[in-house]
Amino acid sequence: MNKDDILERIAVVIRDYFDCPDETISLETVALDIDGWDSLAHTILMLELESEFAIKFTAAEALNFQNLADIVDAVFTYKNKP
Amino acid sequence: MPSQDDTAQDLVGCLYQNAQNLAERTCLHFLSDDVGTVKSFTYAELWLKACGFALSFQTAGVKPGDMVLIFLNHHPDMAACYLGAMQAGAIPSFMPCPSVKQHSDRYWSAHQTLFERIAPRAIVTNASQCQQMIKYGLDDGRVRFIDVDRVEAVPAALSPRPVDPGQIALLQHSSGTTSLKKGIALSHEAILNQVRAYAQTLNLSDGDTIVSWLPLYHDMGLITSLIMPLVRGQTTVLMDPFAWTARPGMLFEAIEKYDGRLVWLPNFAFDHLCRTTGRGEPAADLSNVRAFISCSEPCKPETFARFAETFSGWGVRENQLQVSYALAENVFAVTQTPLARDPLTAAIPSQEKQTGSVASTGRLLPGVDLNIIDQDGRVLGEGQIGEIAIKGESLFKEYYKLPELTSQRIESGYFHTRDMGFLKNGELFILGRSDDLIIVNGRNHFAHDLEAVVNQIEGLKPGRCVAFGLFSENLGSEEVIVVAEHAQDTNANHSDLKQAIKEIVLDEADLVIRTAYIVGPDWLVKTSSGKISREENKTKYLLETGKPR
Repeated sequence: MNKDDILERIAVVIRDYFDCPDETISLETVALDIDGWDSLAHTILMLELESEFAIKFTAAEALNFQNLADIVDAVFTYKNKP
Repeated sequence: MPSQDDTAQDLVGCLYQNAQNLAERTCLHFLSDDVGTVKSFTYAELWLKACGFALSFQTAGVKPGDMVLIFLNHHPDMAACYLGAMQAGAIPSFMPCPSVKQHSDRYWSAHQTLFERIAPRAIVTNASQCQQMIKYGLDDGRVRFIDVDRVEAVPAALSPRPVDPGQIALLQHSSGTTSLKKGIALSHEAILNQVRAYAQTLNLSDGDTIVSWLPLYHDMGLITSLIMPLVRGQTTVLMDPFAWTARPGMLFEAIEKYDGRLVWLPNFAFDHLCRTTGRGEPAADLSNVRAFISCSEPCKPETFARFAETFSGWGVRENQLQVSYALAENVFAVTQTPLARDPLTAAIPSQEKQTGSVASTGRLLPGVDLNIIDQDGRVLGEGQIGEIAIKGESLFKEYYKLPELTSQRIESGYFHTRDMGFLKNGELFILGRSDDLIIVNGRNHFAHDLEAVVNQIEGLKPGRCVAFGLFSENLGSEEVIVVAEHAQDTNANHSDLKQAIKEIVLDEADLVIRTAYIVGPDWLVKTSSGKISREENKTKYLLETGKPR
């Protein structure tokens, strides 16, 4: 799975969870770009992404993601672990 | 041996007595993110460390009556530092730190107005945050910065400083826009009156370990999870609020690990636990918890029902779910439901436009007097809806350095809360507010303060914005919507203006708003008196966006 694929799957989860089907989502997207993405919603989004990719973020990772690129990188690392 | 809080007349004296009489008892566990203990303190150890901080304050020139602000996230020395300030005769106040998403420059700059008003003599923080604060103009040459990590405990216990019980013990700062924060001044006497009354109401015993993720800059965390247990000689387990938000299940793990018996939560937290931890299989036994107490925002009966159902497999029963009506101006609790009773609701009286039922917040604590009053100050009878006014032994002294505001809110000894409610069979039911307060996840924000912040943005028509709250069933709390008119001649696009609004509110009021809705000039509806109407514009927004009411 490459990073473009991961970004696209994350975008689907975000559009679905935040009910924003037309939102443009890129690596530069940050929480404030999406209506309703506060710290509580962030936690639930992390659970949705963990379920989507069958991975488990650490609490520190989940707290410190600054933008979509950080999340994509983390998922990419988990999915490509030997 | 029981704690000696009934003989000491001030908080420092209480801690000293517990350090003498309960020396080896654990008072605090500070947890790491994986629920391992980062650091634990016995009462004797906490006193030695508090004395170490007291000496640091004195060396830094802090005098009795001076203000000490503490900017620390979850840090094992935050309690010792706070108590050390009191031992030095100073007035401490916990303050929130910026989150990773806030802009440091704007966050710290927004403190300048507040600092000018309250004139802190010392600030305790860590080295990196200290650099930020100095960089963004908070060093006025008078304030002394103290690095929390460079303070050592004293080798032998010092005697407590004599304290007049009527003097200000601490300031509890309101949430909301930084520059407009109000410091609620509480005396030692008022705090100890509250602790005694609340402990009696809860039938608190030595084994009632308290588990908390609540921030200590909020009255619910400060009083229930630091001050009350320290005075009573109990054990408290504290976790990082940021870590809890990301991993709510750690609360239940800690309850099981430390045999937690009492937990205070705002309504949204019950829902947050359901939506996150509730997805998994039962992983902790919660059946020994005496009470999960809902306060700091309106308790929703449907939230309780959801929590009881979601966690029934974890041992949760309905009679563990309790409610308190609390406000910092009364130190904390005004009412409390009887522990071990099933939640009680009542139909909203027919005079109110709302329908449905509301949860009881219980009976008055000993020493509290409460009236329900109408707009003319007349006392109303049972079942009639009006503003709640309270007086009693725990009432605050003043809003610090805001005498006009203090006199506006206290009349004939009664504090006018602006909360609306009614009494039925001696129990208090809360319906809402008489002003524009919006409660988001247990924290208070005034709509007019948020509007003032938004009005700073270039590209918006000055004075033409409105903020209001919408209750979210999903979140169990209110969300804030801002509707703002763009300026006639602006080149900024809607997306940029929307982003600017979200950012400035986050930086200056520590709030993530649900959305900013940008509209054209003259969209906003005014009342007949020429003011922008929040209610009418809320209705117009809901109609125009097709949002469900």
